[in-house]
Amino acid sequence: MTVSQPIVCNINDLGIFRGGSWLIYQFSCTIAEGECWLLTGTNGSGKTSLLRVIGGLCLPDKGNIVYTRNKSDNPFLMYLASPPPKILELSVIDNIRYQALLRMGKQFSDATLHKALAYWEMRDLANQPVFQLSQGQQQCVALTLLLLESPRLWLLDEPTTALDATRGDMFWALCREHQQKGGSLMIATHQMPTVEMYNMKYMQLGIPTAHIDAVR
Amino acid sequence: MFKLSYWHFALQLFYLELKRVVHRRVDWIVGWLFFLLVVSIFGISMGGQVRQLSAVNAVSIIWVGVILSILLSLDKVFYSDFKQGILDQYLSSPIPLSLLVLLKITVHWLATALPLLFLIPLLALCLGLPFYLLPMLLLTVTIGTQILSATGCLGTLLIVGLPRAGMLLGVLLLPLYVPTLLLAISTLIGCIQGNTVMGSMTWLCVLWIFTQLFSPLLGANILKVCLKNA
Repeated sequence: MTVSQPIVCNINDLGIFRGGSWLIYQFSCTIAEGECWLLTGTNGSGKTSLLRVIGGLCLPDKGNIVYTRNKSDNPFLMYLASPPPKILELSVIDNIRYQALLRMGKQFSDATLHKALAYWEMRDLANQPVFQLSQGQQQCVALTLLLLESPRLWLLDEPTTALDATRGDMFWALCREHQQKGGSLMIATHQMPTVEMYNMKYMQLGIPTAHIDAVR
Repeated sequence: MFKLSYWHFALQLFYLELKRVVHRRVDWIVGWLFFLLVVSIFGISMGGQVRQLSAVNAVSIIWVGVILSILLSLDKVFYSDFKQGILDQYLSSPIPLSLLVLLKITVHWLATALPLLFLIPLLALCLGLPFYLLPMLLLTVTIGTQILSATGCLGTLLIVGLPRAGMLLGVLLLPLYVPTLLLAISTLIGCIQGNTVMGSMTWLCVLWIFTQLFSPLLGANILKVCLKNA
């Protein structure tokens, strides 16, 4: 394989052991700059687990992941779980503020936050508590974080599930913009992109890889 | 942990956490009411002969109330954060984990124990506690609740992912609360009997410093182990 772009993340021989058997076994891939990986697969095929491991939230049971991060990368990657993390009782804007502080150690002015929210046309919802929002709107709140400060690698778990058609398009446009800036994506999804992306790579999980004995 | 910017961010987070407490005030107010009721139910069970309660009885009733209300408020600290996926983000945060745990413990103490300190004089009056004991009672409760809060938050972190953790938390934590209770009560008994209280008070302070120093570090490690292997 010829790699023309700098590598962002190298996954070697990864294995994830869950519930008495290998959920993912001997998984290897290389994420290069500007690539968009689409993770597909049936329910329970290990998409979320894989993303969590790549995102550094769980330890792999086998293999390793090597990131090539620059000094200026802060944060280097952003993992967005599904359903999106939220604090129900706080307002939309405080949610974003809280998560920006927690995840990136960054503070943003009100104007910046309002501008980011305006992308989703949610500016007038800024002071609503998050529990009053719909699923899709909550998803948008989480995605707003990516508008504020773009890490190089986005790991998104079913980001489009709750979004309507317009916002879905807007989301994919956002991803494209991210690619243009040299960012990489890995998206677990059941819905194909509605906007044409660059450098699409597909990865289907859950294809039975022989019968591997559950030896740890 | 000692980089200044982290403290600045933690302070901002602290402000937002306080906002959360205000938004969810009902949950916390119920905790304070619970304390009032637990202590009064002891009084009521005396059948109106509260005057016959000795000072030792009165302080131990108040202390039991404090312990129970702290215990019952602990499930609110990390549970909703765990459920809504915020706790996961702790691991990938540039802010040190121990600082985040310290923040949570402090917020818990402010929301649970601080109001109790204002309720205690009232209850002490109702239970007929001699007035001279009140400063000492408040002092032991102030120090004691900080120990209880810190230990309790560690306990909740340990079992945060388990279903129906409520009972388990009690079983896990009540034995750990015994040393604090013993030291506080023996200090108060010393005070009532007019003996010196230096010994038990010193040990209470030692325990306090020890928990305040080590609980954030310990909590950070618990978080790492519990979440990464989940």
